[in-house]
Amino acid sequence: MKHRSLVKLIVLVLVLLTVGLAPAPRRAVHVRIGSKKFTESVILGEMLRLLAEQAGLQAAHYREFGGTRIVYDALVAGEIDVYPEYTGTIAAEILAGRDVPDEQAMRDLLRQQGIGMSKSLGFSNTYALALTRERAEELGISRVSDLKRLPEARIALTHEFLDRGDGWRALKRRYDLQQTDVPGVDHDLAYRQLLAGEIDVTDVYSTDAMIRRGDLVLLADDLAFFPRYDAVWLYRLDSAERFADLLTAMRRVEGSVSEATMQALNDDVEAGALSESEAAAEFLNRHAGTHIEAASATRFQMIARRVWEHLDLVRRSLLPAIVVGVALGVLCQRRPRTGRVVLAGVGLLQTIPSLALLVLLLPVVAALGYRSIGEGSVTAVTALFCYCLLPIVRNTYTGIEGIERGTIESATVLGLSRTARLVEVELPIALPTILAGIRTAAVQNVGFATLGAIIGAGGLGQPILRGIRVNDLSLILAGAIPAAALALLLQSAIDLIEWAVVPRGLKRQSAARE
Amino acid sequence: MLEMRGVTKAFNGITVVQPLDLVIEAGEVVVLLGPSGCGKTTILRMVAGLVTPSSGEITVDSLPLDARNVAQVRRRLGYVIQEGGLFPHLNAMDNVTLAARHEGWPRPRMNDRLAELVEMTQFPQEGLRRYPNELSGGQRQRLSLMRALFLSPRVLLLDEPLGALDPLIRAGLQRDLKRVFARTGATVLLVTHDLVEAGRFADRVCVMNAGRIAQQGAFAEILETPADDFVREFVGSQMVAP
Repeated sequence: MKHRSLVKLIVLVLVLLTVGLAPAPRRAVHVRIGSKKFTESVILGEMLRLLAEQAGLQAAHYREFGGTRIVYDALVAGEIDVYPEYTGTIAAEILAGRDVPDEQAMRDLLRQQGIGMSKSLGFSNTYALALTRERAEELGISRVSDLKRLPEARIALTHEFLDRGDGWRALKRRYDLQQTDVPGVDHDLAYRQLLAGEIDVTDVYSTDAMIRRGDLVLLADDLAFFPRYDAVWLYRLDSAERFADLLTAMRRVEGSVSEATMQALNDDVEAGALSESEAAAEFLNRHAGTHIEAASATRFQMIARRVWEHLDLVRRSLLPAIVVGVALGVLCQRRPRTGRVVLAGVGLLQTIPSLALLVLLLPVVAALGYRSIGEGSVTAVTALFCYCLLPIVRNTYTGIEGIERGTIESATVLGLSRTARLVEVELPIALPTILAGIRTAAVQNVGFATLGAIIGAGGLGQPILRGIRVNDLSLILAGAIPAAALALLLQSAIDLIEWAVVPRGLKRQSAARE
Repeated sequence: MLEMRGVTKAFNGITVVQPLDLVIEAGEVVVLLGPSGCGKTTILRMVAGLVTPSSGEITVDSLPLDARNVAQVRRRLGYVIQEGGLFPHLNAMDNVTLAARHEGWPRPRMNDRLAELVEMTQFPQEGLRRYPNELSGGQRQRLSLMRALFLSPRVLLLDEPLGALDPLIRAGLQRDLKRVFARTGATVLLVTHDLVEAGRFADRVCVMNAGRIAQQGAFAEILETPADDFVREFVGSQMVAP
């Protein structure tokens, strides 16, 4: 049994890699729908998912996985087939720098990238000026032009609207308004000040949930100053060709969502009355004549699923990182010069902010043809893998480096080859230190994995992100508490492994008996 | 059995071993005696292939020690150091048998050899299942000795094997070591700074000073006719009693 230990090590490596690299279980899906990370986008995505499923398609909805750039790139890369977008955003961001005189030009430019644009879904989500119904009646105004004869009206605006080139200054010029001394305030604060009567007018998005909640009225943009932000579907032309039912499903929503309806749906979700799925189903049943019951998972089921996804992210990043990290640690110890570069490299990885790392990795992962966004995203797994490396590499290195010289030399003179020495002597003696590194990596990993939700990778970050969006503390805790518990559990599991595999001779408590 | 011809060693330009010629016959016990820093340990480590000589040639059992031969040379060597250099993660039995397992020895043969060595080194039978940190200092050195002897080396290299022990245990182990040398008939190169120890073991003593052999010969000869002031002083300093 000359190579028993080597065989054991190889088996262990194979098991770690097989389990770690096994793909995430995934059901077969025909169409993938994306949405951006705000309520309205998620509700619209849910509508399309429900309709597509009604039409017999297997549809997956990658919710709230990013901002415009990330989601649009995913569409072009074919990671998703369709998502809701706004014409104003298409002009200003997606086709930024291109000349887009009209809608036809926009369609042509998108078509060049293989992307189709639907008709308007029925509403525009643009900037608007709002005031309470009561105050509007008192002042007797209904149009932006009316502000001109009310120089004493108290206006407070969000910082963003104040600063934008096409914001307050341009608006003031167009309508020739007299108001000066307009303060910049936070969005939520402006809303509260408006209700308290401390200010008269502020800027809002025209489908904002607070419009219905606070019974606000919007001033008509009678000089057509604000750009149109008509909601539309952006979809891959080839997907629409392949799945006629998807195109039909998209058409059923077109032209049917009014601004007031969208405000109400947003409010239902943000006030916590309905889930996005339920709000979407309710709308469809009312306006599209469907009979859909939104499968509303209980919170327990939701968390159980997220825990499972979370563990999947941890499994796919940590296990390969153990193999690679220990190998790199050994390399560092054997080749000090290369080692310094490797250690500096993995240390540097650790300092890259997670968001930056995700965004940097996205195009690379997509270019390699892996799933870059959505549940089980390879991007998130890769980022987590990178963050795991440092503690494992460093501890493997210091663990072997810290072995007494006499022990190593005795093994050498005893005639053990380098491999045998590594497998029989160095790695086993360094094992407690290596396990400590793995434990650090694992605990960090569980925490970092919540950030994967930024690109829709699933896991417990998802309820946290959603909780932040709809301002629901219980939802945030429903993600945060299981994540913390998971970290503790994983730590205990590694403690248990340590207890089971580290021989008595390496445990601190057994002092020498002289 | 063991030959060194013109062997030198310099670390970063500082010479620690001056040109050295030393021939040790089969079965001879040679002690390198000297203060710390005199180069005696470096000589031992060069023979073990742990340090490469700056110049000169070492042969063990007529095999020149070089990168190509080092594995073959080491099969002829047993190596024991002051702190034992034991494997902390293995119990006593596995410490002793690790090399044999890698040589592919069958279990019964290993057990026989183990029993033989336990008897020879007076290692307590019940200690075989213990880990090094559960053994006393004397037991650890006996274990280290067993491990070095397991594959029946022709040459034993010992670096201050009794250095870390208290006097009583030291005396016992000294006696046992001497018996082991006699029973195995191994060629022995032992490094120590202790005059009494040198006297107890040596067929021939080499007194070392600043990287060269100041005097070599039988122990009595060294005591009676020191070759120079250094040897006289070194010997004198350790002859306090009676």
